[in-house]
Amino acid sequence: MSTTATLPTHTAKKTPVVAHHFDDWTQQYDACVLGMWTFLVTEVMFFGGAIAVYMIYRWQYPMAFAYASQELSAPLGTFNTFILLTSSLTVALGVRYAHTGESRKVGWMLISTIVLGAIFLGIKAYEYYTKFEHNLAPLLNLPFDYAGPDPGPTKIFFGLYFGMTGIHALHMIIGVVLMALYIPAAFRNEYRDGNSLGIEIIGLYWHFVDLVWIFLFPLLYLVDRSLAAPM
Amino acid sequence: MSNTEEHTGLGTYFLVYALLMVGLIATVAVAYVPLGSWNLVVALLIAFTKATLVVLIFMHVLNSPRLTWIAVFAGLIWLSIMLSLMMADYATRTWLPTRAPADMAIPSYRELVPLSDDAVHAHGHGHGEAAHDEAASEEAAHDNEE
Amino acid sequence: MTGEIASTTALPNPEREPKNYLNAAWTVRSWLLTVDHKRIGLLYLAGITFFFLLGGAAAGLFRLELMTPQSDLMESETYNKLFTLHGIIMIFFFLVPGIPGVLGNFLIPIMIGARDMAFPKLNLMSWYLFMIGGCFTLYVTVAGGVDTGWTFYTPYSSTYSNTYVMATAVGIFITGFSSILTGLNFIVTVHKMRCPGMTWFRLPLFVWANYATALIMVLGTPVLAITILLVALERGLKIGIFDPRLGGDPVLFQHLFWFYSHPAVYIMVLPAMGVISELVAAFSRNRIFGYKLVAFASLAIAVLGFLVWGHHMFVSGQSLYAGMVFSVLSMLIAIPSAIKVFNWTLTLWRGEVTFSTPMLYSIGFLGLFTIGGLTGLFLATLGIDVHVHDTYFVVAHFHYVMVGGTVMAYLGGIHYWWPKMTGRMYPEGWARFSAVLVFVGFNLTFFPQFILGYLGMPRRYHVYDEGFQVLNVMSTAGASILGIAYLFPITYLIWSLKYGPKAPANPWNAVGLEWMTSSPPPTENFTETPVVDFEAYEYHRNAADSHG
Repeated sequence: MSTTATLPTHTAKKTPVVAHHFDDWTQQYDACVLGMWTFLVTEVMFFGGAIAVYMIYRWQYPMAFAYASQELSAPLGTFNTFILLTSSLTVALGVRYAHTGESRKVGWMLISTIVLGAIFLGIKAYEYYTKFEHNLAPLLNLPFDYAGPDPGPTKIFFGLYFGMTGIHALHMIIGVVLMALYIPAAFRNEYRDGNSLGIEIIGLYWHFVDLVWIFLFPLLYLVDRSLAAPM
Repeated sequence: MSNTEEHTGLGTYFLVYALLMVGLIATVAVAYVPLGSWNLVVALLIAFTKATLVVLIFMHVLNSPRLTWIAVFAGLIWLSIMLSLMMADYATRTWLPTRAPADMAIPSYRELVPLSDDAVHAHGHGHGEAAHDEAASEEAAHDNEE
Repeated sequence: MTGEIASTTALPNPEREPKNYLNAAWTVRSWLLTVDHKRIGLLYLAGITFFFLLGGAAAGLFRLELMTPQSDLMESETYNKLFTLHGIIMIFFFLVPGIPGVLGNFLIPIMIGARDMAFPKLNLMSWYLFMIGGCFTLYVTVAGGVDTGWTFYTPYSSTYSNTYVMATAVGIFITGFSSILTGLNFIVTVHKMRCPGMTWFRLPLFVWANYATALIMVLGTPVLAITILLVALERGLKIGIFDPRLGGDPVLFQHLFWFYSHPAVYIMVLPAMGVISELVAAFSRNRIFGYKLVAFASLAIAVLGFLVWGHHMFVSGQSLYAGMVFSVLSMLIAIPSAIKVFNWTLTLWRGEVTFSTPMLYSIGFLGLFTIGGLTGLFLATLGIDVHVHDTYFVVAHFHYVMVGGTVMAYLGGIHYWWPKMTGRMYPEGWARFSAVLVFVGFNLTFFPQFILGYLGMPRRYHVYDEGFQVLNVMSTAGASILGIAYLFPITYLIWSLKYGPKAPANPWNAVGLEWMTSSPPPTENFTETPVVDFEAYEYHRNAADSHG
């Protein structure tokens, strides 16, 4: 992937510059895409470890998790999911425009994605803030005011909530920064020949971040809402 | 799979996006319908459907070589190895050896591994609720439904 | 370690030698910013040798303490810190990156006929991450140590230990990423960079073994990363994930930890098996018996390795039934391992065996790994494990696999490819002598530990019952011999850089692409892209009955 960053950024040749150790562009392209997919597999296992912890504790403390989940805002979570799914669409369109050589449109799609990502992170930050406000952040020995049963497992739930969404947000920040790096090239019309590799790679990454959220949202925000709803 | 590949149409992307939105609404809506333990199953099914759409269309796996498919399935399979073998431990911890007396009461997980007093020292009520086995939580759930 | 690099660079005579990767550039910058896989391999060699010496020194110190049953050389706290340091350094900074980092980096692109790894810059980044992680560990060593054992079991690591757990965790987290990136690079390289004609079943078994290793690195290491991150969050931010006071489960930590750390055992031993395949074939001048079986056995070990982690937790409170499943699955690993051992042995059969230094190490590997593997079956057996769990039996078992297996193969491999890496021959007499000395010292160190463990001496104990002293003195004596034996190769290999005779392109008359280029190879490995029209290990290619 290190090679992708230096791909076709300076010339407007029909075929992109091939790094010295590759035979041809197809080999380089395939290697980079396979590299990204391998990286995504490592990411699956990385988040998978957290999911495993979540699974065990939810199985042990189903009701504590159900009650704790009520403390998260379902409307905000839903809206954020909407935002993130939309950003996935804009990235997918960006990749397509890179394929078809519409370089400026690529730039606009990247910008939309970054804006949507920023909105997501802003709402996330607001949610964190309200948790701290309501003394529901079991960090750094802060006071923890929780009226429901099982405060211990509830703390674990909020620990997992902050841990998992925090790692997810960190991935989003990395994605936003990487995408910003591609914007100048897009507006310099450098994707006009369909050299989409860089955009494709970052697109895969962003879609993966989206995938993680697709699972985190029901697992964290919507735990047994029907059972515990009218608290 | 190189750049010469035919492009997925714009319409396809918007269709997938629409389906994802339907999935989102469905997840939220179903979460408020009391289905018992099926709530989790349905939520995960919808999540998997959404994920499949993103992986196949947005991430172009549908038109990708076999190696990409292998990578996707390797991730899935290894994740399920981890989750299932881990769950195998927790799900069977309270089982007794078969030669135990027939009338021996099967202890709950919490009786085997009781919460310490510290666990319930936090603010609010909850004292004396230390042993909170699953049956009790079920009851609590039903109480709350009323 | 910079001294070692400098002496390597200062060696060949520029006006007479043809251009190769060593004399291509001379500046420090050309080493520290190199993207040449061969130079990165040598960078790893320097780093890994340093950490090996550090970890060995720690072992030497506590072995000395264990000569007497009482505490006389050091406090219990110091003892705990020393064995923790030994474990962390040897596992995360020597065994895991060892063979893949040095030999894998150097050889895989050459063996498959490529000019470099698929991602050269990422490869360099792996080395830097490895060194940065190493610096954290060095800081911990200097600042006051860590006493959790290399396993970091919670809640001791997350709550109670007053030592430098956080810095160690950060170091291992970073080094983990080095491992992940190396694995990723290997996978893509083997898939996409093979030269024309190099089909999967023409690959040397060293490449197969490293490919299987890379799979484990990529699939397992991220789980270690998230586990360590959770412990760090629990310790630093006081998020109680594994805290039993909240209802958390420390055994869950063990599940996550061993999900990586058991497969990590195969990260350490699979590349060693790859090395042995090369050495045994070259010095018995035979095609590896059952090539495909050995290749697939590597993959089988990689896959099965993920299904057995629970055998580390038989007495932890894990469910009895899960324990039974893990016990049975653990025994399955014996099948591919035994296939390999039998096939190597059959390769020797009717071969023209020469007992050069690499072969001596290989023979040592075969015997010691077999003992290590078979005692592993004892430990996989639920009932026996209850008796010997956390005793010196376990210590002896994994040292037979890790030191008797991996370190022997590593040293054998270093000797075998030393002429290719440096262009110089090492002194054969000294090398054979130290190979034998390593074998003797090793067995004297660790065989008594099997007996100690079976008699019930627990591992990680500072003081022990007086009845155990004789065996402990034997073990310490063996460790002294082993320590000295390790200093020999380091000395004469460095000596050979300046005084060793020049190596021809193929000093062993071996087959394989790495022997078809000059010693040392040019920066681009081959003057023109090779085209492979022969199978692996065709040692009888020119014989009359072959398709020459």
